[in-house]
Amino acid sequence: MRRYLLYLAAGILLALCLAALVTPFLAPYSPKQQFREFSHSPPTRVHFLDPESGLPPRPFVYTNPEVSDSKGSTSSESTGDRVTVRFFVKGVPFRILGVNSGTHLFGLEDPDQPVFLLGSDSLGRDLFSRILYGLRFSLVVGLLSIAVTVLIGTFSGTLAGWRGGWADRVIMRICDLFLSLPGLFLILGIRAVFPLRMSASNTLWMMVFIFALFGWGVVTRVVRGQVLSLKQRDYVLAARTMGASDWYIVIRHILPFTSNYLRVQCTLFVPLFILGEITMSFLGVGVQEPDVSLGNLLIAARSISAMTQHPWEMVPALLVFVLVFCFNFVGDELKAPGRVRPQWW
Amino acid sequence: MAKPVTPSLAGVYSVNRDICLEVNNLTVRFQSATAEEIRAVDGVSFTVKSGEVFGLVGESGCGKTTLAHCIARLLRADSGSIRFQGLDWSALKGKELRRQRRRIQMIFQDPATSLNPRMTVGQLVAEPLWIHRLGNKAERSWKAVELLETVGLQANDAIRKPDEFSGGQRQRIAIARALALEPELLIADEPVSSLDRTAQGEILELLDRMQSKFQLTTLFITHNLKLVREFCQRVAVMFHGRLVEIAETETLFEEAAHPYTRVLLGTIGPDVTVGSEGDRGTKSLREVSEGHWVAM
Repeated sequence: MRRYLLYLAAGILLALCLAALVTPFLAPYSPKQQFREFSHSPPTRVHFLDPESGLPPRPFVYTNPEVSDSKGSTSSESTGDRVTVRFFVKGVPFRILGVNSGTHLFGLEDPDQPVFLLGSDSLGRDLFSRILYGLRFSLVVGLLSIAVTVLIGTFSGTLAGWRGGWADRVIMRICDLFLSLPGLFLILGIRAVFPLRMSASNTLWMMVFIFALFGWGVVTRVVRGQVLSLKQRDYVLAARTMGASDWYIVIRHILPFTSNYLRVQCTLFVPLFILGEITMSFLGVGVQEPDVSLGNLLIAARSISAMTQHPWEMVPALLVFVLVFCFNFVGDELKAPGRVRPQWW
Repeated sequence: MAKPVTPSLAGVYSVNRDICLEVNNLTVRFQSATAEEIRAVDGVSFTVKSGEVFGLVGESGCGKTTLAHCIARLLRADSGSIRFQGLDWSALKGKELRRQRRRIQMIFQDPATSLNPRMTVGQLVAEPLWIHRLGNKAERSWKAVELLETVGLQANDAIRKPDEFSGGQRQRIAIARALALEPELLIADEPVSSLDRTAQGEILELLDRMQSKFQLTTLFITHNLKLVREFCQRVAVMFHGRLVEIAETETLFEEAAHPYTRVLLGTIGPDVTVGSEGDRGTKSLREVSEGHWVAM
């Protein structure tokens, strides 16, 4: 049973990563595109059955679907013309992995007529597209940060453990310094060094820098401990007597044995970094409008009126929950001894 | 005209082909956290002749393995020197040391830990060749298979991992790996003490066969005097980091002079005082008869 839950969680993560990879194709609109007349419009209902014949035609929407009245309740009457939802429609051009394209998975034939799968925000921007782009940013921050963290942590940890002596003392004292500072203050403190307004890509690199600074100490410390014990193994001594160089021994006989720990640490750090990004953006010191991340999408959802009047703005919170839950679940499963560990991991 | 050489220097600079290894006054100290420093190896001197099997016996904790690690250059001695085939072995360093290391290879006590569990047997045996960039990939593979067959394994074992083998078979793999570089001196550190009886016999028989096939000199470290009698030509007995007796095997078993040796041999009871920490520094080796040295 647990095995299938693990597969499910890993599958969800994989699907989300894939979605992040091909976001511009999946999202019908650009995250910045505004439909001013459609402010706070609820999720568009896509009809799969023809109301007159009862037969399934191609899916369609009504141009003037559901009208909100002043009290915030919606009538279920749909009026207006039918517009067919088309697949693989031409839309805003984009570029994925070096391939230029303008084809989107779905969209409407009429470019002035939007389809909002998850409703729209106050400026009439498609929430579905924005969530996809936000997810993309948050995942990229999380994964890039973990890559840099593991790289730095493994390097310094191996150096400290293998060389010992003054290198060990210097590295470990710096490490202790970073580990002794409270996380949020460290993050906000380093954030204060950078200018307040930054472009999306600069924000990305700034966050990677901050999170790597935040996380490298943990990795360094554990890797150092492992190297200290691994370097006493007989096969390391044997390699020495054979005349192997330090580099060879570290790469061949030491680092492969730290990978189990590193994998677990990665799956536990990624959600932490994603939550860090969300916290920073939510506090307004991370990604800023009109750029989008899961964190600043939640800014719109923080008021009570948002919850009652346009609850679809809570969807990003749900996604964050699923994302972090899946990462933590996979990480915990891998961490616990004696648990099922699939071959591929 | 040959220069006259002062007698004291003659022994140092001439290369004696008969002597493979010469350990001189070697001392290794460990600083323990609680007590004062411990001398794991304390002023040890002995020579190993080319082509012989030299036994080193002593109970566990007496410093045998520390001594072996010094000779294999896994550990730095605090004082004393090691000469190997006329080379100042203990002074080698860096690239030169790495290049020369192939001449002394080591077999470890427990093959379960001396073989990297993530590598295949073929990779393990070919590893020393790869480290020294000997031959190309195909040649190394052939050589590995050849070595595996020499030690009594099969060619198709090369693609398996060490944990698929029994203890005895793993020790065979370790021996094949140690022999890959055709060393001049083989240090066997308790090579059979982690094995069961049958495997012990097989491995000793294999080592004996390899001894003549590769014209090895072997430093055979063990706590088991029975193995010494079967296998070694000369023996040194180690006690608390010092050598207390060096003799030909036959001499040792018949005319053991030091009380500790006799305790090991069981000819006197273990309750006899065999010297304590206090008098370690006072006793030095004296030759009581031809090739028979005793601490007194």
